[in-house]
Amino acid sequence: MKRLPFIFLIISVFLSVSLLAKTARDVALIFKVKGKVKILKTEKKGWNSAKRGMRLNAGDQIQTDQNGFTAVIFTDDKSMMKIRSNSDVIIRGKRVKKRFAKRIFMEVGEAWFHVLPQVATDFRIETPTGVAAVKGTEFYTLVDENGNMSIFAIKGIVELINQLGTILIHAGEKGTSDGKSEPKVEKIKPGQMPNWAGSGQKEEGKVLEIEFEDENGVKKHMKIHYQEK
Amino acid sequence: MRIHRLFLSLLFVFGSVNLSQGQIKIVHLQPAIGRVNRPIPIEVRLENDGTMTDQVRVYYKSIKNASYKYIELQPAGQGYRGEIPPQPLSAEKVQYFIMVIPRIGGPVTYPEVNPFYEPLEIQIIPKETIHEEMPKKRPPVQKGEKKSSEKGVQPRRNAILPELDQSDYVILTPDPGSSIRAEDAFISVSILADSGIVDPSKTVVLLDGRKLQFKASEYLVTAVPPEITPGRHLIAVVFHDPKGRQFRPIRWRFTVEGPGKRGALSLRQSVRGNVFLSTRQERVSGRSLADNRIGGNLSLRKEAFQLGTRFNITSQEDRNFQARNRFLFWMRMPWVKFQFGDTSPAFTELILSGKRVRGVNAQVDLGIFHLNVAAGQTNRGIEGNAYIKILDPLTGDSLYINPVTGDTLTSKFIGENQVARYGTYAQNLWGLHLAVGKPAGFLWGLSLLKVKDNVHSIRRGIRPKDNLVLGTDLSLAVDRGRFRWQSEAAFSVLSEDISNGAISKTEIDSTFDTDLPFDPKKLEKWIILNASTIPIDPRRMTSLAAFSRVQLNYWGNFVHVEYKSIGSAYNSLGNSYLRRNLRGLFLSDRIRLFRNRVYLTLGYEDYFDNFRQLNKNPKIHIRSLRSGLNYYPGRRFPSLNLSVKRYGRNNQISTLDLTPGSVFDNREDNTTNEITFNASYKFKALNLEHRLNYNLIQMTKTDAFAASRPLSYFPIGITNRIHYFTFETNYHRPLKSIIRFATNRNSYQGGLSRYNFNTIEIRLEAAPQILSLFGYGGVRLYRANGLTRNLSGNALAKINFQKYQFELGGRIEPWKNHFFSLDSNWILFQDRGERYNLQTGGVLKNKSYQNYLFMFRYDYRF
Repeated sequence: MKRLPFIFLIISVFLSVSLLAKTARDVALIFKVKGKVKILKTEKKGWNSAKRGMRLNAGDQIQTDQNGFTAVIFTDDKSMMKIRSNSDVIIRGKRVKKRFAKRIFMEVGEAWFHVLPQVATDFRIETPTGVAAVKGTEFYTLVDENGNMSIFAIKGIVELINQLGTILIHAGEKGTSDGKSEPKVEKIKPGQMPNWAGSGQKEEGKVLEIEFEDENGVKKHMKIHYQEK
Repeated sequence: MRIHRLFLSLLFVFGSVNLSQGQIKIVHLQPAIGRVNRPIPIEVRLENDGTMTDQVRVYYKSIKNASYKYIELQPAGQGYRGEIPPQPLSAEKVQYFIMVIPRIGGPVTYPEVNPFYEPLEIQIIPKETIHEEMPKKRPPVQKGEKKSSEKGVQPRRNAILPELDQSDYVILTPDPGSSIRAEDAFISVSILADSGIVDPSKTVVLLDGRKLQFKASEYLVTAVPPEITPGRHLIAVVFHDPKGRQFRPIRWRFTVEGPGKRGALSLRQSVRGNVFLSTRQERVSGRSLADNRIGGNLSLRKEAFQLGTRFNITSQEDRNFQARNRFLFWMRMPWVKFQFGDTSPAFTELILSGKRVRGVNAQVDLGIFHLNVAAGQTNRGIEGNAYIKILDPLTGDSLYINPVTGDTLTSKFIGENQVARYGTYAQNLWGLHLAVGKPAGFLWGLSLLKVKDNVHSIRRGIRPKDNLVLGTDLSLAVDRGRFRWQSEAAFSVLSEDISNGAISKTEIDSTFDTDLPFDPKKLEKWIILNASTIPIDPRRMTSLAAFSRVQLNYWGNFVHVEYKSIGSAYNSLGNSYLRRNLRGLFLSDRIRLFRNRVYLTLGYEDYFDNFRQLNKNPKIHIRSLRSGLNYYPGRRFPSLNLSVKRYGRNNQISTLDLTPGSVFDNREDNTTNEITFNASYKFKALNLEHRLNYNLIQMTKTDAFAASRPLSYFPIGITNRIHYFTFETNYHRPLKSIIRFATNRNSYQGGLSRYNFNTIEIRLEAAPQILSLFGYGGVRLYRANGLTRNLSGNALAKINFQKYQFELGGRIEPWKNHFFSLDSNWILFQDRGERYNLQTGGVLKNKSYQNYLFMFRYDYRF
């Protein structure tokens, strides 16, 4: 009888740890695959080839080879990530109510992100030399073999943080972090901005602009990119 | 007569008056709210519609606009239905009134008194609050849901299916409306609903009605179509709760591109439309009506080019009345829109808005240049009738028969060619609006409108008109539309009788001993000027109409400031329902608070009616103060809406006109207080979902001169109180029951007369899972009593009637896309009312009657 509180404590600790350790499942989907793309699932041993429709859980790792390309869509808010060749990305994070607080760890490679602005999602890109905090934007992240990180902001604002400082990167700016000095920001020079993400879902081509009026009477413009064949 | 109208106006929210048979009464239940960017359904029932209705229209406008647009309601069941087009949040409130145009007799409106100036109002509720108020599992029922043809999904039953909240799922792929390659076809929907709401294992995924293999987890449903052909496709994902109850399917469409032929999108696949056949048989107050219709619409789309037609042909079409058939052909491209048929062109608020024109309407947008041209006929010519002379076979005297009423007259003043009923001239309209700039930025426009009666179109007409309107408008939107400024000014000339043509310069100069700098005869092509022309003196600017408004959308405030001045002589036959001779200011602010859970609206109006005082009538100062509070605490709590309105009319006259031999009292100083309260609560009890709704509408009108009115004048005071309860229950079958109960208490003529009625309705809606069947049935009971008295307190009429109404109907889809609808009503009207002839002492008892209404309709949608 005296052992009862102790047993209760053990069970409680065990349950707590189990709950805390519970993997967030189905947080993302492989939407598109080109070339060779490998997935290392947390619950399975060994690498598997990525396939369209494959579900990803928190902790899953994605690797692309020299011709590999994949597009990933997050299931909670439809944010999108496109990963270019020779990249290594781990999806981390946890579910918070209906949302998935995303921690994308990029060891090396290039990725394009599109985070929807209207959803207050916690979205961070972590690299060996810095962290990019995002709220509603579109940008590229490049991480070289030394872990040096570059952010090219296309829209919105990205906050780049390392242990030595914080900067804000606005649209049309490039931010860099090498982990040895505080992050730097500069204007993107002509021809410097990557544009390979168009090879995925969004095609280069013509733009159709449609005007909408929302419930507040505010007019907004929707641009539809399309390609004539 | 005025008192009688006031009495009728008491029923401004719902209800009907059946005081006398033979005159159409409009029965209408005002929608409690309108939802942002969603159409507002309007349903109207007509009583005593034995004269056969020509048209039923709903005139509507935003509270901020000066002019009305209209929609025509279509017969449906025992009434008429239609939808006020979706309104933005900036509309704040939609004002509307209903007009019935019978074949015989003048139009009837609802509200009956002053409908243009005191219309009904519907609050526009923002989308966010709608989501908040929707329960996760059982939101309000929505009728008229789009059909679904998928097997395994019950299209019509959807009307009473619960719906998942929009925040409970995300359509991941394919994007709704997107165009993808066949190899990219992959269906995925993310489930964000709280645990226990959806049972993923019971999910059904359908592609064009065919079930697909799918994979479902707590968070995600995915399916890969085995093969998919180019063209448009429909996805339906049907979720169920853990008890197996189905939610309303989530549907969306996408297109699969053809192999390398994207530009050659199949024309057949872009054809959409529907056709219908309907018959409506009525027997009301002993009179029968048969209305058979065929109609439909068709649209073809090939990339940016669209083409379509809409038509509604009725057996009620009659050359002796205005057109009831409707047809329209339209074509649309990115830079041009063209319509031919029954069009509703709209230039600006002051000049052309809400007028049906049978002709052409074209809009061309070339960069910063925008041109809108309209031309056609607004009225068709309808010949008048002359008295017909016959000889009395008995006396040999001449008799004259009115061919309209059948009345026989012997008056020597009536001749063979004497007009018994004047006809309507054919009226033609043409106009253009040219604007330069961008609608989202700066835009400046010029308008010209010409409307003229064709004096040769009929022989027996009266006062043919000619109207010319010129105007300019300016709008500026900056800061992404958060600041808007809009102004317009228009000047009109109206000749009220052009039957004798234009007056000449010689005539004017000799009559007025002046030297006119131009000859009106030379302007005849543009406008016929003569003695009936208004304004008589354009320099007085009585025919000038102008407004300027500013709208600001900052920091949770939507501020609207407007000043307008509509001259007493301003007339645009392109907008017949503009309130004239009015000048004043309108201010309002709609404040969003507590993350859009609370909306506070404050408004103030200060106008002078008849401000020009060109007639003998006094200037009336109209002031109104409005406030509204809308509270949407969330799904599990009742939503509350309170609206308080106080408005007054004062003509600044405080003394009686004591002319010897008569007392004339034209003093007006009255105040009306109106309170509207609504509470709506969705809750769960006995394992069923329920909705309880309560409305209170209270109106009191007080007269500042009540104590000093002469005895020969009826008192003005009115009180009116309506309680209206609705209780709905959704059963699992699915079956839905609705119980409505209302009481209406009225006192008018300062308490001299009264009118009360109660109504109770029980209705069941069911959707067994066969052939998309949806059926309903119900019974309504109205019971009314009241008394009208004259000034001496003697009873003139006793109101005492009961009405039982039984309704049965349903819809079925026996084959895909083929729908059959049936609606039948039997109304038993037991009238124990009496009318008293005070001179003879006679009592006239009202008649009881039975009405039947039957409607059958077939629809094919493609």
